[in-house]
Formats: sequence, structure tokens, C-alpha cells
Amino acid sequence: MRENIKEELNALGMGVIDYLETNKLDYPTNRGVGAMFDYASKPGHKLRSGLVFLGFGAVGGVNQSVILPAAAAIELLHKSTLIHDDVVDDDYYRRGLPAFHSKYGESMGVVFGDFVCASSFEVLKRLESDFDKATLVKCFEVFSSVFRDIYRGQLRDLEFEESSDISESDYMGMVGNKTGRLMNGALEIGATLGGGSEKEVRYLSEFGYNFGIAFQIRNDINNITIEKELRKDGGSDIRARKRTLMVIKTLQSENKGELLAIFNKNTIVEEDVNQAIQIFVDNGSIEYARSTVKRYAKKAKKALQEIKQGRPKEILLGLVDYIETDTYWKVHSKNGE
Amino acid sequence: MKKSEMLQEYLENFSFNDDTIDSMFRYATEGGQKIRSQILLLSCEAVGGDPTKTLPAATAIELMHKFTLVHDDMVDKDELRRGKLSFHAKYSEDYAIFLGDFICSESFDLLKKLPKQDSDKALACYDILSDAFYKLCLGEVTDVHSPKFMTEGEYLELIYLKSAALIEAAGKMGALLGGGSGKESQMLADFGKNFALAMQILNDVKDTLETEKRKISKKSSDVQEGKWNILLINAFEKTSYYNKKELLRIMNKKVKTDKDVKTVQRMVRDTKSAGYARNLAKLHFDRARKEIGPLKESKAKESLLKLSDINIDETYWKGK
Repeated sequence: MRENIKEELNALGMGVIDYLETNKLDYPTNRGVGAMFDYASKPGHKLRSGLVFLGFGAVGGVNQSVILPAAAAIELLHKSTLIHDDVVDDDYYRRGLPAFHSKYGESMGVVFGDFVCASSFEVLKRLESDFDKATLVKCFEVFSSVFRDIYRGQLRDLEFEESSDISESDYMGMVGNKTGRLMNGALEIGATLGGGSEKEVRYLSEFGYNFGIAFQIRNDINNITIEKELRKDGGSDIRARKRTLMVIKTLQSENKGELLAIFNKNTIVEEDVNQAIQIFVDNGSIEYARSTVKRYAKKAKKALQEIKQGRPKEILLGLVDYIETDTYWKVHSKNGE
Repeated sequence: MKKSEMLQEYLENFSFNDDTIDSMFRYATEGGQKIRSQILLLSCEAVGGDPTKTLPAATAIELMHKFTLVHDDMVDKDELRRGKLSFHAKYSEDYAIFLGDFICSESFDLLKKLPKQDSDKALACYDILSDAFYKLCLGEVTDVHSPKFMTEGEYLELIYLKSAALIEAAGKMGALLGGGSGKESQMLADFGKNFALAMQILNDVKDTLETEKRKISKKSSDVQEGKWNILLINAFEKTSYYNKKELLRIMNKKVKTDKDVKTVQRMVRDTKSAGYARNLAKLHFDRARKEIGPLKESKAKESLLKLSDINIDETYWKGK
């Protein structure tokens, strides 16, 4: 069942890649734009675009091929945020490959990230002939506000980097924008295009938001647990001094000073990473994060209660099962180059 | 109230319930002539529409422009803008990336604040804004790619993408929201496009004049940055075979000496490239005015005509 979910999402993702491959945007072919576009848009597990199809299917949408542009647009918007995110975080690798800016330079990273973002709108436009105008306007509205909320979250995240006193609710708001919003936006757009009722759209949106938060916290837990064992770059969040729920929780405890002492070092070495993880363990921060994942997972599942049974709902629930347990989603890049 | 004040007031009312974001947003969006958004409002008025109802759209166009400035300055390493620290110099490159993105997103998000209108118009607005966004970015990508040489045609295409496409969009959107016909919308779009091309070409003339006049210029010139402009391209096309090779060599050198800059200036003078550029700018201003000729007479039309009635000879004559 679980493996099936992965395969099905993969197949949907491949459909998006094929779609972009056969429906190229209008750009000059002589300036390397094509090669850069392929580099920026191809890899990844296509979870977000999958959610567009699942939202569509969950409300009874049948002809998946008509919403390909929306799925591709969501994926491209996501990709554009990754390019900028990697520049800002000084991450030189993504999924075992050089990050876009490592390959093409920071300046190109900035302007090409913009270009991929603009491409997402251009691709979304292609929905036009298949739907009524009011539905399309709704899609653009949701898409634009998703775009805005992501960067609101990114800006908040930068603000948090300079702060050692962040409340949990502020933190959740930031994660909700940065990660949850694109996921619930994907479902919202899918459900809207599938002709879902207002209620259905709202339930799916609520699912996406809570799932997105749980997904992010799960990723952050994995970074210092499973990834730490499997990959060279495991624990990278600590080296980057990233504000995760574990960090927030620890900063609110008496162990604050110890953790800050590590974060305030000029360079954080392996030993520091291990020490920080030990602080998290002692402080119960990892356990707390696990229980928070469960809490949001439960909310996500509950939001689906009134969505009709069917494969899309099964997959969505299966995705929640996935992140509720300590399993490793990104199994295929073990060495983490 | 003057249009630029209306726009300023509209922008000042933005708040995101976050002091840091609010002050950064303000810093990045205040000031400037707001020429793009004014063209949108005037285009709306020129076809009989009420410009106060299109303020969200005008602001969307303005924000799209401001977003490119934030990213541009950072990529070009320009530390100053209009005598003030540029955004990334004041805050940081990290904030510049995300705040630029945020301003861009806010631009799209503003479209839903337009008065309730038919879906056709709303969709057309998203269409126009997205098209301009795409062109702006494509222009930026080409710019960063910095080709070793460009023909005049390629250069005009580049400045169309980088700057004229957005003003074209302003004219088009303004006319559309003002209830203009397809034909009127096209006229005002073409007005915007030609007006912007002319302004950009004049900028190139100014760049050359300023390099000649001011020895100590804070902003480096196109030659120093190795960026082709219309004068340099014309000089290349008109000059001797030997000079062509020399110009190419200098433009693609990493560091340009004062002697290099002087050599290029001489070539530009000898080929009368400033005069050539002035004439090309005039041509586009004339085209812009001609485009909107058939529009009904109105105050807005007058204003548009006046905008594009720049006395080039007087302002941009020195230095042949």
C-alpha cells in the first residue's frame, strides 16, 4: 500500500515532467535558458503537484489531463522558491546534486528563480480553455496568495534567525506559511478545478495546511535522527542554526544557554552537532516534536472525515501515515553528496 | 489630488501586521516617479474610465517594477539608488531576495482588490501582469548571461523585455479596466511600449554624457560594466574593422582602464552615435504620440502626449 502511494505519486509527477517537456515555454533557445530550466524544474519527488491531482480527484474530478497546467504551475512555483531558498541558506547541494546557484552562480540563481516563478504563472494561464472564467479567476487568486504567503513565511524565518525568543505559535504561523500554504494551495486549486463544493475545498485546504506543518516538523526531526545516520550532511540544520521546533522548544527551557553557546560559535563542528542533539534529547525536544507531528497529523486526518471515500482520499491518509512514523521519505539519496 | 500622491497614499496604507516587514516594504517601495502606474491611470482615464477604481492595478504595476529594482541592484552590486542605500545594502542580500519576491507576489495579490468586475476582465489582468513578469525575468536572465556582443535588434528586444514590456502592460491594463475597446487598449499598449523604448535609449545617451562630464562617478558606466547600449552598438557597427576588434576586446575585458574608457568614448564620438541614439529616441516618442492620436481628446490624453514630448535636443545635446 505504501509503496503504491509512492509509485502513484511518481507516475503523476512524471506526467508533469512530460507535460513541461512537450509544452515548452516561449524563450530563446540560444542562451542556455532551456538547459537551466530543465536543471531547475526536473528533479524532486513531485509531492506538491501530486496534491493538485489528489484534490481534484477527491472531489470527483475525472479527466486529470486537463489540470496538468495547474499541477505543473504549483511544481514550478515550488521549484522557484527552492532556488532562492538555497541561495539565502548557502546550501550548495540539493538532493545530492549541486544546487542551482552552485552550478550557475548566485546572480543567475536570483534572476532565474524569478524566471521560474514567472513561468509558473505562464503555465497556469494555459488552463484557460477548459474551465469557466470564474473558476480560473479563483485559481489565480489562490495561486497569488500562496505565492505571497510563502515569502511572508520566508521573511519571518529570516527574522527568527536573529532571535532567541520565539513563541511556538509564531513559529507555527511561519511554518504554516512557508510549507503548509503551498500544500493546501495545491489541494485548494485541485479541488476548485474539480468543481468541489465550498465545504470540500475548505476541508481539503485544512488537510493540506496541517499536513504541511507535520511534514516540515517530520523533515526537521529526520535531519537530526535518521539522516544523521545515513548521510554525510545529516544534522545540517544545526550547522545552519536553523530554527526548528526542537530549537524553539529548547530555547524556552533551562537548556537555552547551552544551545545558544553552540549556535554562537563561529563554526559548528561535528562534535557540536552531536552535543546539540544530546541537548534536544535531554530536554525532551525531539519527543515533543514527534508528538506535535502526531497532533497535526490527527488534525489533517480529521479534516478529511467528510471527503468521500476513494483512492485520492486513501492516498492522502496514507501520506499522513508516512510522516507520522519515523521513516525516511527521501530514501533514494542515501549518500547525500 | 495628483496621481502620484494618490499612489503614494495607497502604498502607505499597506500593512502586514509585522513591523519589520512593514518597514522593509516601505523602504523598497517609497519614492520614484511612479511613471508606470501613472501611465496606467492615465490610460484608464483616456478611454473614459475612473482612475480611482484602478489604483490596485496601478499599484500592482508599480510593485512589479519595485521588485525588479530590489533584485537588480543586488545582482548588479549597485549600492546606491537615487542617493539612498539600495535595499540589499541597507538590509542584506538575504532579505533582498525574499522581500523582492514578496513585493512581486503582493503585486499579483493586489489584483483581487479591484472592484468586483466580470471574470473576463479579471482574467485579462492576470494574463497581462503575468506576461510582463515573464518578459521582465527573461530580460534579466539575458542580462546576467551578459552576451559578448549584441546587434541593435537584439538590444532593442532586450530593453523591450527589461523595461518596455511593463509599461506596455500598464497602458493595456489601464485601457482595459477603463472600459476601452480592444483597439484602444492596443493603442495605449503601443504608446507605453514606444514611450519606454525612447526613455531607455535616452538613458543610454545620458550614461555616455555622464561618463564624459563627471570624472568621479559613483555609478559605473555601461562601458566599465561591459554592458552594450545603443550608442556602443552603433559605434561598433559604424567604426573601422580595427576599431571593432578593439571595442570588442575592451568591452569583454575584466577591468577597464581609464584609457580604455577614453578609447571607447572617442569611437562613440567619431561615429556620431549620440546623435544616432537621439534620433532613434525621437522616432519612438513620435510613434508613441502617433499611436494615441485617434483617441478622443481629453485631459488624460493631453498628459500622455506631454509625457512623451521631451525636448531631446535641449536636454541631451551636449557631447555630440
